[in-house]
Amino acid sequence: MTTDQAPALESLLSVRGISKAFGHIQALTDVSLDIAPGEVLALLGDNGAGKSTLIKILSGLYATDSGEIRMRGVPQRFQSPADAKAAGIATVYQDLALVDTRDVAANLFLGREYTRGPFIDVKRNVAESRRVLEQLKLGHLPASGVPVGVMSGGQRQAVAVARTVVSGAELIIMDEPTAALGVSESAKVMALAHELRDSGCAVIIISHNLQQVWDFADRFAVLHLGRLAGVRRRSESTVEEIVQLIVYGAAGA
Amino acid sequence: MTATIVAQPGTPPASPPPKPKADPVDRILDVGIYIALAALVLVFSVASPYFLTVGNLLNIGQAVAQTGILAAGVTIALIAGQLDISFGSVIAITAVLIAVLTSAGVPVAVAVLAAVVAGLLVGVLNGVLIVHLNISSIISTLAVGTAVTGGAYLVASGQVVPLPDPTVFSWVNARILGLPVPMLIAIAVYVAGWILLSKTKLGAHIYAVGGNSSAALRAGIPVKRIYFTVLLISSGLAVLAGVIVLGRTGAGDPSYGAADMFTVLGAVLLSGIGLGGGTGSVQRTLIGVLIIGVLANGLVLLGVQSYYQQLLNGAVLVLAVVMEAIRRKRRSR
Amino acid sequence: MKHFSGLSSALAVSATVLLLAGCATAANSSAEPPAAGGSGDRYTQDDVTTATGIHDVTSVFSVPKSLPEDLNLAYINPSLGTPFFKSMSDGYKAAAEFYGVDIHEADLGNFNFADAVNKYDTISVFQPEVVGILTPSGAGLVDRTRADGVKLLASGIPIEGADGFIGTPERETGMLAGSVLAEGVAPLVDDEWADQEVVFVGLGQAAIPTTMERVESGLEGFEAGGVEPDSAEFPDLGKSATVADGVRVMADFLTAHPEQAIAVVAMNDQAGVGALQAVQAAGRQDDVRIVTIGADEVGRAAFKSDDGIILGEVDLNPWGAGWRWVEAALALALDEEFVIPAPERVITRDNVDELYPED
Ligand SMILES: Nc1ncnc2c1ncn2[C@@H]1O[C@H](COP(=O)(O)OP(=O)(O)OP(=O)(O)O)[C@@H](O)[C@H]1O
Ligand SMILES: [Mg+2]
Repeated sequence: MTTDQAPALESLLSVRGISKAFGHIQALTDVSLDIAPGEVLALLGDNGAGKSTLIKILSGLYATDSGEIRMRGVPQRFQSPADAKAAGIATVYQDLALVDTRDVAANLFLGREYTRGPFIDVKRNVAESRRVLEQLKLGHLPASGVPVGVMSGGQRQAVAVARTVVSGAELIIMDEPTAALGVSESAKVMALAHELRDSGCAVIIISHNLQQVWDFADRFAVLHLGRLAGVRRRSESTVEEIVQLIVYGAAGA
Repeated sequence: MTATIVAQPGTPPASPPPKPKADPVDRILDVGIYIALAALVLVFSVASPYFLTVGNLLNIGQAVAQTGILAAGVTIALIAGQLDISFGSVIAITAVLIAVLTSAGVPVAVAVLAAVVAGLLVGVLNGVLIVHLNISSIISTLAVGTAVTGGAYLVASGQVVPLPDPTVFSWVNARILGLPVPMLIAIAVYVAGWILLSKTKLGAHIYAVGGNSSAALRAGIPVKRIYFTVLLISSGLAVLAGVIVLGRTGAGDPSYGAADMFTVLGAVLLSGIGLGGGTGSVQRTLIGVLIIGVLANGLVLLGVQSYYQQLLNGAVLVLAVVMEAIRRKRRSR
Repeated sequence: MKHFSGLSSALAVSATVLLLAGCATAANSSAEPPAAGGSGDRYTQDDVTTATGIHDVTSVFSVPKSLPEDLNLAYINPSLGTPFFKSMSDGYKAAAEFYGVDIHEADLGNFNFADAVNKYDTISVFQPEVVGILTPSGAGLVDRTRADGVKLLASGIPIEGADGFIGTPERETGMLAGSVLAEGVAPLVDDEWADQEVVFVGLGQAAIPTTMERVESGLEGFEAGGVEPDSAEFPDLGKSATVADGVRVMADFLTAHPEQAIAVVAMNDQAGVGALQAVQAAGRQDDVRIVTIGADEVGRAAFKSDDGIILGEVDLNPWGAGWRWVEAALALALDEEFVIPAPERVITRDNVDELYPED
């Protein structure tokens, strides 16, 4: 994949030639990437490879030094996280940004509650929450009455993800969603990524742990020292090859 | 759980949703205050023939009205994560301003308006320190409160200023359908507080801001405006309490409010609200208010030496703080 | 009369002494004190003297030996945590027991006058005939008691519209302090202080006229006692009248008057003890003599440490004040009259152990 390639027609997000420096540190150099609707992409790379920098650019937290971002072919200039959100990109950060003392419905509709005049339409919020949870096969989570603070890490992650669906996001970025989770909880989060994919969203999962994402991602994008070392389909690659990309920045060395 | 994930959409889960259960200790902490209140009522009813009489219960209602109104304001602010301890100073400045201004011939309505403006200014000032200068709420409101109390002493020249015409505020001492007016006002405040917190969008945002302010901010909730709102509610209720004290005593005294710190914070802490923000309700605060009010009333009826009263009040507060510590420890497991 | 109820009530410490001495006015001051001997159906001064022992109470009303059934009284104490008012509480409880009436007590905690009406409500379930309170803001209470048909007997600070008042008259109190000071200073003026200018100092709170009346009367008593000072000054203790205030004001005064001899009347023990500490710190023991008003624990303790600088303390006798409140309340309940006594007892280094052996 080269940088001068035209964006694929079916692309949801298309990133072309992005570079970003912090003073003397070149965090990203000429990165180009595409992602289609209904696709799970794992973004991999060693510490300091530039993963976080890339998603912060995509979620409107950082401006790029050069390069271009398009959503559905439309060029974007993100000035703030709100712009990225408006364009349909939602990011689930590691802190999840949940209000632990409130229930699922309150969290899903945080800041976008259904209201009747000054009053909150609790019934509707709960009903809509149930609908979204069902849609994501999360019907086992209580929509109301239980503060999310008492839920398990995986459940909380699920709530945070469900919220991005409520917000109408088409591209959902998850920053190290499994970092603090055990094996079975991680698997559930990955399953959730599949549900998102099946409902037509695109998902980018950032991870350190190739083992955890291997079975669930459709493609792997590997950053190495701020450059895109390679993008591989799972069906056309092996764990060993991806590891080599992560560690050496090149395969078959 | 994996089974649930692969369940067919639309099919209701076979078993009822496995709600994460509150564990027994948390439940005890939650119902503890109701039990404590019931126990106090029981003990005093047995120990004093005067306690469980309509007259005395109304007296309690009357006496806790002021504490209750203040505690409701503190609770709302605390749910948003702001501990407002400037209420005492607002009581003082309210009572003193109205007394001094009416003594100087200013019409009562104007004097009351001035007091309302002064009280709300305290809220604004608290907000500026907390929101714009990023100073913690306890320090901000302590500083503002101290200054305002000083201002009240200054306005009153350090003296007690009698109302030139106490009858203007005698409605405070009236009863409607046999119920004391301050008690009715307090009931109205609690109903309004309950509706605000549990039924309105603003209430939901108050909880969200207190529970996780950065998440609320990222969700587009106007966090700063909410901080100002709760601080204004808190100082506005303190103005109301100030008018009640003024009417009850017939004079403006700059020392008013100083003694409310213990009872109000005690009641609020007893409710188990914690200082973290995002939790609590005015209903639970009301139970805390009643516990302290019943204790104060019952001990006088029993003729218990005031040292023991203080000791008991202190013990109640220690209990509340310990309960909070246990909660917090359990939460951060 | 100027109806002033000025008291910055937060000043717990300074208030202790001040509170007992409101304006020197009472509707009933013309009444006769109890006879020394007595007809059999009333208690006499002798009975009271015997009953009060070291507290040596001068009765204000000769109480009938048979009182109506279930006559009961209530007293709302401003601060039982303050030694002065605790003594007072002991005094009115002792009197109630002696005269065979019930007394119910409520406590405003630390001078929480805002709570007075609530405390009255609480205690009103006992349906007392007379309720007593010491508060600078009693207007609301007047309405409440009137509505209940309960008599309000203000204690220490007069309340406009109340049914009665009993307290210590400021002028007499100050005069007594001044005369004690003159008595102690007169020999010095003829001797050690002969070459020095003599300054009279009254330590009061400028914003609280009752305290100023007290210390200005001190000057009057001082001059009446035969000492003519070269000048008289009344530095302001400020918002409160604590030991710290006494230290601060006196230290400044000593600095400003390095050569003069100084005779001090302090409005309360706290200010006087503060002044004493300032004198000791400045090493001016030879130049200063002090008389205080109150004789509370703080003041009495000073005798144990000072070097003869505090000459005496006018004894406001809080225990006795409590006792006399009960007598006055009984007079009020029976629609009879009582007298307001002037203080007459002075505590000195020589009698302090005898009068307050429990110290
Ligand atoms: N705000 C910043 N200011 C200065 N340098 C930064 C900043 N953010 C990132 N960098 C630098 O840019 C480079 C890429 O960092 P980035 O956080 O994107 O890596 P990462 O792949 O997310 O690493 P990790 O796996 O450790 O999270 C690093 O050298 C980092 O030190
Ligand atoms: Mg990172």
